[in-house]
Amino acid sequence: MTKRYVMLADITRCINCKACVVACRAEWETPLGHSRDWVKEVELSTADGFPVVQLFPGRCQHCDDAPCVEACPSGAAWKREDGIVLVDDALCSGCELCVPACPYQARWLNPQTNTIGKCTFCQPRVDEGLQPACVQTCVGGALRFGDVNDPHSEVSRLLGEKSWVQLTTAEVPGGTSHYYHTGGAPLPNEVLPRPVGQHVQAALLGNVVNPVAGIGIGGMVAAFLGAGVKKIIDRRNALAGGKENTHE
Amino acid sequence: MKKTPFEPARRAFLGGAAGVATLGIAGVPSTALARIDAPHAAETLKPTSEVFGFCDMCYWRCGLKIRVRDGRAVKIDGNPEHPNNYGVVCAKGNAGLMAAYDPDRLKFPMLRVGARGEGKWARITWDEALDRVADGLNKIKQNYGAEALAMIGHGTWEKPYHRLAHAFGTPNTTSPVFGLCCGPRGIGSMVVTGREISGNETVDLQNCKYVLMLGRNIVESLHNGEAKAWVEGVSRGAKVVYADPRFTITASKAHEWLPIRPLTDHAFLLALIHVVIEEGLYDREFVREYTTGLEELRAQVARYTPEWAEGETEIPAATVRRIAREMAERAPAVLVYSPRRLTRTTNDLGTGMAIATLNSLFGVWDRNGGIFAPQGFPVPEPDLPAYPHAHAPRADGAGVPGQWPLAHPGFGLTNQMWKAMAEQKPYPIKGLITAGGNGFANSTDYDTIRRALNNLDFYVAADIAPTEMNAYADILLPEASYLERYDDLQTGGAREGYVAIRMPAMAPLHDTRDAWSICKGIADRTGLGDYFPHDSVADLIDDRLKKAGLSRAELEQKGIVKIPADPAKNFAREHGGRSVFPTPSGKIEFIPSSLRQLGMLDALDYEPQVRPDAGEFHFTFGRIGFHTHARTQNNPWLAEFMVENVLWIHPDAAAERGIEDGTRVRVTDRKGRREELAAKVTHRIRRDTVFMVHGFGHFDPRMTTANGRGAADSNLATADQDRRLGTVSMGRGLVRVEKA
Amino acid sequence: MSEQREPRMILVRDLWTIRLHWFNALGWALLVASGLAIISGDSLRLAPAFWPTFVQNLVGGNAAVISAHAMVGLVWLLGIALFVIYRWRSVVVPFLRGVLSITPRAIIADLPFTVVTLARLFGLMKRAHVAPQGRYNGAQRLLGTMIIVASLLIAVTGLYLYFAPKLLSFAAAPVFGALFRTALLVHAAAVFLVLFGLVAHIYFAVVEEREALEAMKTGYISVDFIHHHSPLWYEQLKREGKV
Repeated sequence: MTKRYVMLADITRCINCKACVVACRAEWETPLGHSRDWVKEVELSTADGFPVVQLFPGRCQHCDDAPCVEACPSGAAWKREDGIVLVDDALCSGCELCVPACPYQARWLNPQTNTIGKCTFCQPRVDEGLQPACVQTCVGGALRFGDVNDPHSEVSRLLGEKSWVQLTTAEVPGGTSHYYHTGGAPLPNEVLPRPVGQHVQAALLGNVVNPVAGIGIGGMVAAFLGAGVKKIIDRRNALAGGKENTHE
Repeated sequence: MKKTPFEPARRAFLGGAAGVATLGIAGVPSTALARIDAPHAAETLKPTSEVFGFCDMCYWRCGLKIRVRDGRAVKIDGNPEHPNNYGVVCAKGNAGLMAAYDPDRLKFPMLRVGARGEGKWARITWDEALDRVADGLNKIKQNYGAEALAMIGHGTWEKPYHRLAHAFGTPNTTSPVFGLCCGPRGIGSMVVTGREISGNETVDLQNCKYVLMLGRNIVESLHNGEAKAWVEGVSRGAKVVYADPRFTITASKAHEWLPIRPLTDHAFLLALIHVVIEEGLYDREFVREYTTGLEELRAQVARYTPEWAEGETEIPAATVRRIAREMAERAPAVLVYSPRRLTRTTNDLGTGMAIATLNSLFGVWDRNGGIFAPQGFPVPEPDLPAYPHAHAPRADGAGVPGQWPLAHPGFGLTNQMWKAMAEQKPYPIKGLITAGGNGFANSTDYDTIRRALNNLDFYVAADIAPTEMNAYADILLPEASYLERYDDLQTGGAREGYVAIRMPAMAPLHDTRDAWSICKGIADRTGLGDYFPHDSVADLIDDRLKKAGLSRAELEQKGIVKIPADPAKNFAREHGGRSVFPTPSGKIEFIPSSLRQLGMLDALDYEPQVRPDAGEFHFTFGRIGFHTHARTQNNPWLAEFMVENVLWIHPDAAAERGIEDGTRVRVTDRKGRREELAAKVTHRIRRDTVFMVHGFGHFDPRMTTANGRGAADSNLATADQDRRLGTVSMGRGLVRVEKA
Repeated sequence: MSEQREPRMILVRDLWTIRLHWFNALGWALLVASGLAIISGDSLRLAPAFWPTFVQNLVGGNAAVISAHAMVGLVWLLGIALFVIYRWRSVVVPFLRGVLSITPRAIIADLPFTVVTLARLFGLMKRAHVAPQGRYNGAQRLLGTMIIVASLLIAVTGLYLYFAPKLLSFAAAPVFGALFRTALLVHAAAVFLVLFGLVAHIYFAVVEEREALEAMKTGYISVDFIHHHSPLWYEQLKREGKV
């Protein structure tokens, strides 16, 4: 059976120690100023002014129907059968068409490789049977990773034991491979996805060039097919009438 | 190269067939058609080898497994076997690579050529450096006697410097951990119970049912093992009541936050003791069998009613009573969790005693969910000649009758040592060795530190990286980082006993040496070579391991050798065993006989602390999970999260001063000391209190990331002292805040 | 040879010009086929998914398709460039003079013929008067100009698309990435524009003017054909004594 990897983040166990972020930086030599993962500290307060702090470890959510894959013109953004959304560096030109497409702001241009950097669920480690670096080092045990297609895996068990939500909205409704347990608290706006965006060039390609070309080329093909048909009919008529020259 | 599984022939055929089928709509752009499913090259893991070590990014010292590629350390993982962390590493530990790769490191021995503290240096060879150190130390001894040398440690494995100083003949070695940090909690527990919860917190947090925490910001003063255990305990349903003027991350995980008035923890604890005794909530059997002095204690706390405490702490009396009852219901799986740094007031000893007393009343010793008895791993020290007799009493008065008899002479009182050096009392201190540490950032009085350093005839500093303090050195000795050296063994224990090894993950990146080689070099040149008989650290640990019946090869396999946990030893009273309390009476002494002798029985009594005038705030400072004290602000991987600290201030107090989030503010204390930084306006702090994260405001230009960033709490915290222990009282600062 | 006896067929283009045309046609076929196989996104999809899926699987991944597309593109560019250099005076300049329709006035002048020509395919505007045309008629001029301009754009943007990610640090200046995205847009739009015109080009060659297609194989075309389609050219050839 194919694997299907998911990440679980139990925010009640997250302590914002940033171990995951530094482990990731060290593991993948992420240049300073960028990170494949993060912890968002959301400060709220109750109606009577009592403070509430929520901690959301975040990274690429590995969407089921990933907008970045749709936005990538070269196929560098791709999704493996096991659910991991990856960047094929050999194909990535660093054009950043995928960057505004990501509702979680998980994609960025890596100045060292000039390709798009993002969380890979530590695919090279996972392929070797290791846990992702962030999960392995998570002090609070907030992050768990595994194969949800294996009913005996820890993630399958935890998914059944606790209530889990995903960072989705009516606007960005897609499923993801990343689950959060908030202990029942509603998701704060700070962590909700932003609408899928586009660069102007992508908008022009998708909304102008593609349809215009489709209509234009399709129209031309149709028109000249029509002309050809007319010609055949004319010729048949001419043969039947036996008089008119087909050539003017 | 790994590729996604695909069958080219079949795919191509299907694709071709699909192609024919779709030809009809060719050229019509569509988003509805299937996703491109093409083969891709998947990244593979680069091969690495592994060595073991233990961390030096903080003093918890987690076990590490360091990945090495091409002769360079490339990733630090946790050693899954090590009881201090069981495989996890925090951000600081993960960023340890940058401690080694820090471009600002001290890279070669240096001789001061400018004025002291001016920061002008000349590169010299190791031989010249060590010759000069030997010469400097010999002169101190000749001119003033051996005791005129002080040694302040706090660096990477400071042990050899202690040995060197003792061999030299001075009693004046100190480690800041006692006088500036944990001293009072340890002594408070020792005088009552004869035991303390040792450096690695021998508390059964996973199984605890109720934790009362007093500013014990466990997940931000982050030590992996205990934070991991605490989170586990909370997720298993332990109730957490957290008292702190500030709403920390720990508070956010607690069930109840008590925004207690600063410096009044002691009053809160006394009221709890009062309720527990008056309502008979204590563990009667345990108290009868294992304790003395309950009735005297009852009399001593009679006046500390919850109603009285409410006036001090602002915690409602009813809450105190409820907490006492809730804890009693769940005892003995309960804990009053002591702060780690308990150097806040003029009577931290009393606070420490109250914590030990309360825990003892609940009978938590050697019980599941309570405090357990650790195991050790005995590894003999090498055979060395006896140290010469020190002719003078310790200059800091630690353990000295008539001065600070309760203070631990093994650690000394670093705050009192600086004072002695500044005032040259009780006798001249003219030579100084520092091993790591940073008096400017970990103590609380720049003037004292500066005077102390300027009084010196000779100062040699050994460290990994530049600090404000080592800028004053005459000779600067660069140490190899903990990733570049062997070190003496790490022995210790919690449930398990263990001995762990630190192996070099790479050759030194610069012209640096490990502490042992440095000390041996100095010892050889000062006629003290007999105290350093081993050629190298590796030889030393081989020698010690041999005596313990172990070998280095054995230790290098998993980085650690352990004695398994033994519930009968850790939790004796769960398994028919007895608790042991090594006090003079062999019992827990609610009225400690050691204090009776010293005439200090009033230590348990409450001493009111300072209160802010109108317009003033209590000044507090503390930790964040991703910085270690004042040591990591220059680490680029950690500065990424916080390169400057901010001043937490309550929205009402901020509004009165026209301060908004991000406004630059000036913080001025009663002595006129001031710092500037940006404000964080938040409900997460009491109105009468301000807070900043510890360790910022560095001013050494050699620290290229940290220099000039944020504000120094050490320039605002107080240098008062505990009246009985001599430890520092940092929490008594009162400040005014205005827009800068 | 007597001047009165006009040869039935005359040579109007040399062998290398013919070879270039078919080289260009082959290049286009390969480049369009591979180009449509490269574009993989959903929102940017230019061909149905089966095509990139099929081709990319066939050759083991898009990197190979991209390399092939780039190699063919470079060969195409080089071939045309060499032709332009070696036949600059003899073929290219006369061709450009005859075919370019760049100024608004020229374009407006060429439009009526184009409209009438297309309309007549459907039996319309049979009586409309059209001005006599030269070697390249108005429709051909518009199409040719468009193809030349589009090809230049395609070549320039193609070079940027292929080489910029290899040679420039997109992270160093946002303009490089913006240029890349714009180049991608222009590259695609220009190709579509050419494909749009190519429908007519191929139809006329295959259906309407089989002689012209033959001429693109042999180089010879009948004087009758010239006389009929390109009276001005006929006059010119006559003046030059070639017919």
